[in-house]
Amino acid sequence: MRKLLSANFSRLWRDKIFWICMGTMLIYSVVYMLNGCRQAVVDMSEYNYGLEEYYFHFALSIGMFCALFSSMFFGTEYSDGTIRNKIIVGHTKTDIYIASLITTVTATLLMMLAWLIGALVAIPTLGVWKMTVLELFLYLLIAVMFVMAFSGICTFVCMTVTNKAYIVMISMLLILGLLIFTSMLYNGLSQPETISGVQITLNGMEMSKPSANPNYVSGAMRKVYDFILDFLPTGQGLRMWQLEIVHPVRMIISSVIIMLLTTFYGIFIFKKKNLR
Amino acid sequence: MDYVLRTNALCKKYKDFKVLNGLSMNVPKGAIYGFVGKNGAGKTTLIRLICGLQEPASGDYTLYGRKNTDKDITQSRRRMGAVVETPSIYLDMTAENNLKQQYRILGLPSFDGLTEILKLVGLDNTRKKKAKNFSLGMRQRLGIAIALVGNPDFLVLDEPANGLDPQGIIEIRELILKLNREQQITVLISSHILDELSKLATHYGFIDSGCLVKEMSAKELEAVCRKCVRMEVSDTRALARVLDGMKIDYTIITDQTADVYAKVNISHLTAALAKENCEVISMQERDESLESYYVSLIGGGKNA
Repeated sequence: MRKLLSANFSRLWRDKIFWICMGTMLIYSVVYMLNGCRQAVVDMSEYNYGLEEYYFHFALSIGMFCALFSSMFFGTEYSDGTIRNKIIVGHTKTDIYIASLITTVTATLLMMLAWLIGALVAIPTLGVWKMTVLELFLYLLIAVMFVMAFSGICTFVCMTVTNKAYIVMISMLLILGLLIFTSMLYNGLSQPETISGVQITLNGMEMSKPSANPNYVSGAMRKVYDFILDFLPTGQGLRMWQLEIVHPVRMIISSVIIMLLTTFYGIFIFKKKNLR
Repeated sequence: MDYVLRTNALCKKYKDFKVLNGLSMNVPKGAIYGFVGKNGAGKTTLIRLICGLQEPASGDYTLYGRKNTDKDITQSRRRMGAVVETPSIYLDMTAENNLKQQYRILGLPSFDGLTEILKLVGLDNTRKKKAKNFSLGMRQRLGIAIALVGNPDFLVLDEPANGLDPQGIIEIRELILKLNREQQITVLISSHILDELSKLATHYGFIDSGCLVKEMSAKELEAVCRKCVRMEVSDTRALARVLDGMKIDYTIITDQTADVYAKVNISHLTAALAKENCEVISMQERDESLESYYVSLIGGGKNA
């Protein structure tokens, strides 16, 4: 395992896609935070905001970066056929899978770190975090955990699909699909319970009496929506973006479950896979 | 005899298609084993199995005495290097970095011997060039160089001459011979370029439809393919007496046919046979090449 990790990391440090992702994350965070600062100054809300207002906004895009990096990095192993070199000399498929997972987690965490460092550029305008240190650590822990869940999902795709073009396409579409799906759920949960329209009467325009919103999600379905949002890493990202983390333990356990499930099932499929 | 690889009734299926059908073969230590078969016969599939890329549906194999189901088969795999189909190289890395990457995969403590390997395959002058800018022949040689990292005792090469120009084919052949003679590396080489294989192989395995049709040494094959005159006579006992008298090698095939391994003076021979009351019915010069032997073995008509 150590040998495989050494080989993977030595390749990682020379990998163009990895450094492009790192650079993009850094520039993205600086530009994004400076734009946030400008907006806060225009709204005159910079005194109310803390750094956290924008600090965790990487949470929505990190999944796409993880998918892009891992699919290009490990897709090459199949397109160039180099995965064979590892198996021929006696490394087990389980070791190869786990080494790939650890490499993906490390690379994605480094990309997240690039954002977190770049985002500090907003401190002169927004000040530091208004949340407590404990809250800050909890948010960071949840972020680390959902990065691991994303890595688990992406590694699963990379190791079980053996065509580079398909790996890239499936990884990106899967993360994008999850993002859209959780956005729809979040949108459903954000609906007000009642709505009131505007009526034109003889006395002019009047607000109508509040009536039940047909799009409001209630009862057991609301709990299901809520659970899915906490379960999926893209849902957790949305919650983090909105600074609405209510069930941190549920989120952390969910990330662990996703990573373990994808890894166990991924290893099972990879071991059975006929490599060419 | 010591064997590097022995397979026992190996079977492999892709969905409903049986690619290997009870294949048993034996690769002796120190041999250059030519694995001959037409496209789709199952050569690459067998190589994939013994390299651990795929699992057999049934049957087993032993590599340096360890069964494929043993946990310590990985120890035997450490002793082998392989180039399966296309060379397994990182195209965006230089030749040197490709080798270094393999050193890391093997967990070797230093890059000692890297220059020697590059020299051996003739890539010493292009070590800093990226593999994507290499010609097909250079890539093939780099693939072999990677397979040689860690000083393997057993080298598996799948169609190494595929797509190479004549000069490239000669270079690869000389490299394989050098590795076998100077470093005593056992080589399993699959090919359907029979003429090329005949310049290398010390042993042959002929595969057809997933079965090993024949396994033989190059000496045995040479005997089979020996230049001869096939004679049809009325009495082969009389022919034997005459040929013994002339001290000529021969093989009696049936009561009426025999192979004579010499360029005989036909007038003298027929006169001598006439004295023994033996008639010559027909004579035919036979020069069986590896190609014609292969066709007769596999069934040329079926494959034409």
